Amino acid sequence: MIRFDNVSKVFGEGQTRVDALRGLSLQIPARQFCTIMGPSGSGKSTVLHLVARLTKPTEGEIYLGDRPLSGMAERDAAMMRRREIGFVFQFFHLIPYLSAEENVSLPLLLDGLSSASVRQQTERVLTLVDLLHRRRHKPSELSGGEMQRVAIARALVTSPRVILADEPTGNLDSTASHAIMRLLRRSSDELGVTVLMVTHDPVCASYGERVVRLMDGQVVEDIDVTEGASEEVSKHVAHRRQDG
Amino acid sequence: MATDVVQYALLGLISVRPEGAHGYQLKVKFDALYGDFWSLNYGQLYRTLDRLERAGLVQCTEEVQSGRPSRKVYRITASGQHSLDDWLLLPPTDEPRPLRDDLSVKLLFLTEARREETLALVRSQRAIYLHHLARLTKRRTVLEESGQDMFVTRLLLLQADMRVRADLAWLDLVEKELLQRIEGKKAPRPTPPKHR
Repeated sequence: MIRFDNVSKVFGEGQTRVDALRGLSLQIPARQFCTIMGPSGSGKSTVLHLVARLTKPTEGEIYLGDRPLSGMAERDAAMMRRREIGFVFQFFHLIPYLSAEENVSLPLLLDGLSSASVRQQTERVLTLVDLLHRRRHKPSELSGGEMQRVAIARALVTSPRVILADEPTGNLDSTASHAIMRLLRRSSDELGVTVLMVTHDPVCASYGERVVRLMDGQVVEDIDVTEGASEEVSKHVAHRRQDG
Repeated sequence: MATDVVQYALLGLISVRPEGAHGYQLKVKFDALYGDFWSLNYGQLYRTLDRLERAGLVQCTEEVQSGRPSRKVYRITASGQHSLDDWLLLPPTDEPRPLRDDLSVKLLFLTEARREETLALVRSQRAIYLHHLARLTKRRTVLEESGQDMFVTRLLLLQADMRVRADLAWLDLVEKELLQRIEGKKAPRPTPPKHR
């Protein structure tokens, strides 16, 4: 569904040259909840920006479905971002003078949908994130966790194929973080959305089924954290614990 | 889990069954409560029960079953109840431990020439912790969705979360320092990674 084919990305040149990605190849199947981890400067956010075609690779190609992204016209890229990709950021990026409901419905209004269907879609996602009762509140009247749930509703309202989340719990306490991660998990399980998330927090990463670790723009670990894989490893741990 | 803690865990499980408990029941109960954190095999279970009996903390009786072999049933004694109460009220003395497996010892003895292998060890250790965390997360989600009041189990899961998170942060640090030492031995790269 998302494919990186030998992708390199260089920012700047000469003394200020930074190699953000060095020949990255990665395939993320549809509906997978995949987490990217790694130290600061390892290229994590660049991966998200490339999938959203907010930037183009220096070398290699990125595919969303069958479509190569680097040759895509700006207009088509903007359309793809609006219809096929939902974004969730650390600092929510909600519009402060609009209510929760207006923030969520904005992508649909930009797409020129009828007001009946805008209302219906907005209610559907606000119900999903359990915030229908707070629909008229402005961001300043909501808690951090609630603001992020509004942001997830906004990301889901266009029924995207992919959600790109950049440190979505970076600004939240652990209870709010769990609620956000459960919503992302459900988006993948129940709505079939592919989730690609960057995080520093291993507890958040444990909600996904795969953890890719980047270092210096390359994959250093690709870990399957699903049930089967986890049983094998726990046997190993239990065995070692009895020894100790 | 230290031997005396296993002993008190079993004593506690026996104490809430005044009608008595047999080994299999105790094993099932222990696994349900602690299975995600500690493994207890039957050998350890029966050795611990024998020790409790010899110390007079539990009393063991043979229960005859029709058509099946008789089985041992354990009940807590007055002395056992007293000992359990004392232990419950005693402040924990366990010192904070680093990774409770062999990695820290290996780090001591792996020589400088084997840093790449050490790095591989650190990475496989991280995968183990991430798997463990994924299982805990799944359990917590199931618990939350079941709506049951599992106050202590929930607290134990949170404690495990915090420990694994701390161990993972330490592994990140070990990896970073190992890499710095490896880099230090190599010729400098033409394009050293920079923070963005």
